[in-house]
Amino acid sequence: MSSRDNDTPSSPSNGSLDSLMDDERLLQQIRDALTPMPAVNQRAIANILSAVADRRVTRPERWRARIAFAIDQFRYATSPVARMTAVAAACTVLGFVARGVLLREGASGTPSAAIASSAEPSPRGPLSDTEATRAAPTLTQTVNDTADPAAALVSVQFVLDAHATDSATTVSVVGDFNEWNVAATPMTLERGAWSVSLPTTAGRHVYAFVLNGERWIADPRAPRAADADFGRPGSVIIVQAP
Amino acid sequence: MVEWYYPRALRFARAMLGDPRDAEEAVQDTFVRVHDNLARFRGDESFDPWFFRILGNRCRTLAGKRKRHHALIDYTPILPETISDADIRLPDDAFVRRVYHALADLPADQREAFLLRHVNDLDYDEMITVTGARGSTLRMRVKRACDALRVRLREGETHE
Repeated sequence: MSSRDNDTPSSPSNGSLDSLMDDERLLQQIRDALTPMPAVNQRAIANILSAVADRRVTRPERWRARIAFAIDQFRYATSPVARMTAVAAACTVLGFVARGVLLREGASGTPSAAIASSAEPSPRGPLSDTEATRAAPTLTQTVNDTADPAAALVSVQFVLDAHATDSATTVSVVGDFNEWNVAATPMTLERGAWSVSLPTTAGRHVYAFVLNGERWIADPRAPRAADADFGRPGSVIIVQAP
Repeated sequence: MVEWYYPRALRFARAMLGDPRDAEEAVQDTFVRVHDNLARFRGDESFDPWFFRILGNRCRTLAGKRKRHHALIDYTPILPETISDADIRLPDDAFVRRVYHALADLPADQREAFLLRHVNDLDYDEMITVTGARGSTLRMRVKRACDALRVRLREGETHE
């Protein structure tokens, strides 16, 4: 191996002068071997001209070409360290974005998602009595529906243990949120509990359950209301603002 | 532009890839990319480094895709009528073959640096534009390529 620092020799010693001249002569011969132009196929040139002329320049294709060009530049014109750094930075940014999206989805899920998560405590099938009782809290899974707390409707889930209904065939919830309308908010029986989910505004609400459209009962698991409507039993729920 | 650059591009691509078909493909792809991205070329810089940068990238991509050794498969004899410089002194075919084989044995980055410097006559600033590597790195690659070619060709002479 030569000890020169670059491809142009400088200050050769007398002893190595012949050798260096030989080196230069050989290098010149190599260049002579490689420099001549290859035989050119005119048809290949015509093909290129045709391909370029026929090339569509729609906007997506233009962008695709630009992206391919940029990827090539990134792959080959940047150092491995810079590439690794860029990839790591991109992964970090993507991670933060994904985390933000996931957290936002977790914090502001739809009411139906909240219902599903609270009304179906177990995917194993029908619940035992104890499970049904445990799975039937009176209140309430609340979630934010909008970003504005003042105007936000909060989804409230009303649940009534079926044992407290004396085998009623229909149960509905009434309250100041539905003008005490017996037919407005029917509940459904599922896994030993009647339940319904209802968007309400934040604040204090009075409500009751109506069995078979006639019999009003207060929620056995909620505080009684002193101002029950028309002397009928009622319960109180405090819905917190989101 | 195609007629001017095509022979130079093909010469570079053949020396880089070894396979004439791969070289043709790389060159054609390069012209299409040049056409697509011509608007990105700044008029105040030299066109050669920009063009050979795209070509070099295409050669690397193709070489990686093929994943095969760039042994010289075919050697197309140089036809005198295709040589632009009539005064150029043609070496004999056997020597040219040995040069191409020796070149194919070089690492790709050294092969590229040698071709850009000694065949395309680019200066180191232009080579930096083409490869993205630093000047000192390129000088080292060229030097190592020269040394390796000399050793390889002299070994061949001894064996003959």
